[in-house]
Amino acid sequence: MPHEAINFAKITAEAAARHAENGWPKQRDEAWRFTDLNAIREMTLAPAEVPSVTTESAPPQDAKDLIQFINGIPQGIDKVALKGVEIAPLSTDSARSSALAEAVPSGHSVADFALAHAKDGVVIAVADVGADAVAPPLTLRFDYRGDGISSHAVIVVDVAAGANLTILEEHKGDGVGLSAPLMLLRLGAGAELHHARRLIEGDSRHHLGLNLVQLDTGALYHGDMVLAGGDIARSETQIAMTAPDAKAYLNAVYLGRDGQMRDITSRIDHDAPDGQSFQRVHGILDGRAKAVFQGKVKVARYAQKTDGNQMSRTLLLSREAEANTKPELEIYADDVACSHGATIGEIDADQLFYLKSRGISTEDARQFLIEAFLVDVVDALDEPARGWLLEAIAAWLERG
Amino acid sequence: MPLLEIKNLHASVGDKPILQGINLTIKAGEIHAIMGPNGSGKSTLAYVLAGREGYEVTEGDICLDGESVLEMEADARARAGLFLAFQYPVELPGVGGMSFLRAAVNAKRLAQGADEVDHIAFVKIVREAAARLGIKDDMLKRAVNVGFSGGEKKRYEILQMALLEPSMAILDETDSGLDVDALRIVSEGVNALKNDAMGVLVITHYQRLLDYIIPDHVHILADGRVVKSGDKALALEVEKTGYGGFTDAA
Repeated sequence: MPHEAINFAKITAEAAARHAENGWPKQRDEAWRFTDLNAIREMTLAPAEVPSVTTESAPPQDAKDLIQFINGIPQGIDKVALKGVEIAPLSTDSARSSALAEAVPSGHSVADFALAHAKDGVVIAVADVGADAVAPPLTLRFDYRGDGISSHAVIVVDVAAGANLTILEEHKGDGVGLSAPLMLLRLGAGAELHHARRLIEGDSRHHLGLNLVQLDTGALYHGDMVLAGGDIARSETQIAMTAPDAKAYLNAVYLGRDGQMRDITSRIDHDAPDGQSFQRVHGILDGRAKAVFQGKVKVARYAQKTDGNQMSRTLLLSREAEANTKPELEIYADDVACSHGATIGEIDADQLFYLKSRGISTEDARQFLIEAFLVDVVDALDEPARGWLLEAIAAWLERG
Repeated sequence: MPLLEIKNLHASVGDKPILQGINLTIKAGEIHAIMGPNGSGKSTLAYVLAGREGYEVTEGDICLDGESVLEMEADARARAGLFLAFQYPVELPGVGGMSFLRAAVNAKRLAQGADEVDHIAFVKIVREAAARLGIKDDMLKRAVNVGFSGGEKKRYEILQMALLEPSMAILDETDSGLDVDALRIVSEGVNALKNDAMGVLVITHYQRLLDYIIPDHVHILADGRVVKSGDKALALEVEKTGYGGFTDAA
């Protein structure tokens, strides 16, 4: 059994050793230039333990389409009953464990940290059940509780060739803690994954997440995210298009206030011809909040006819808020259409006055302009999950 | 009681004094025109009356229905019955026209203690008012002023005026950028809205708008002061002689 050479326990042990040696990245590391992890470095954290199954932690009885994670540890995965979807522990799946180990970028401290203390991972395998039998969305609900706990969820999603899945992923909860979810999302030829995420954790939590996406020929990944919670919150997505004709959308709305940090990092590798990637990131910052959007698009020499677009817009509601954008286009092919654009601005005084001159209160006028600022990214959100994502935006705006 | 009373109004933008003691009284049912050369303070006066931030009144008072509006922000003045038709209407990308119009009308209705307007009924009211101004349905569906031509923007201003039914309307260079046909439509729109309870202040550089909206009184503004007042004949005099003589007199 040669595949046992790299089992899950070995992967986590190696990651733990790397993280112990390397620690958290410093700001002199280019990928972390704008994100100061001192607050995390200074935390005393104990990895989450398997919770006792209480009424509180047990998922609802009828949760056929839900996996609940308490502090990153999945609960009752055997209850899920979606046509074509199989859920299993990762530790008993050495092939996928190996795939994960191979996919993790070397020296990536967030990935190492997630793996280091993961008790087990979850495999979500989706089969092609035919176009007329598309399963309802699978909800991944991450609940965080207690203080001084780090949560390590490791998930491998395999969408088979021609299969289609929608995931609604939510992270919420209070207490002082760190969430470090790691996901490997593998899409077979012609597969589709619609992946909507609401990151709405409490103000005292930190979140460092990494999603690794692998796209086969003609596969489509549609990632939509609202990042509206946590103190330091970073969401990183790496997409590898290793076969032709793959397509990816990455839409993100980030919202920050007080002294919060928002970090949206992406890397898209176009390693095959005819790939398309569309990124749209809109952020709103109030108070002393800071944010960075760093998006790298790399187009290999043979990845001709690549279409890569990136647009980032930030609205600053306070003079003390700070936004940084760092687009990086690395293009080696000569027949491509790649573009990026970035704007950072505040509420326009002329527009505000125009609305007020019609009797609309300052508060309502600002609301109009904030919602208007989000229109383009909201339009780009995947239809089925749009309302679900908009709820998270509305809740943040209501808190004022 | 006068509808609008401007008393010894001095105003500055930044540290620069622009208005230097304007006196003007407008009664209900009257149309007044303010004419003046570029830089005379016409647009500043419009913004000061509407309550734009950054336009600071340093002396004097502005009273609407006998109440000073100086402490009121622009939105409160609008709800109290003041309306400014902008010289350069502002584009609001992402703000849907219908929700904008409804918010404006509802803000005023709520301030008057009335219920919010019924959604379906409102759409009908807007469509009818728009049709009278030659505003097409698809313009109503677009974001506010986005992709509108100059003439469409001005018509859209008058549509807002029609829906908000102000007691005191200020038209800031509404004729600028309009061809003859658009000028006629806009003017007819204003004339149709005019009534005995309403005052109108037309701010313009040229006389031609006053061929359509006939003023009861004409005032010449120069260097931040009203240097001469008269009737319609004064506008015709300006047309012939230009503003030269008036600025020297100031």
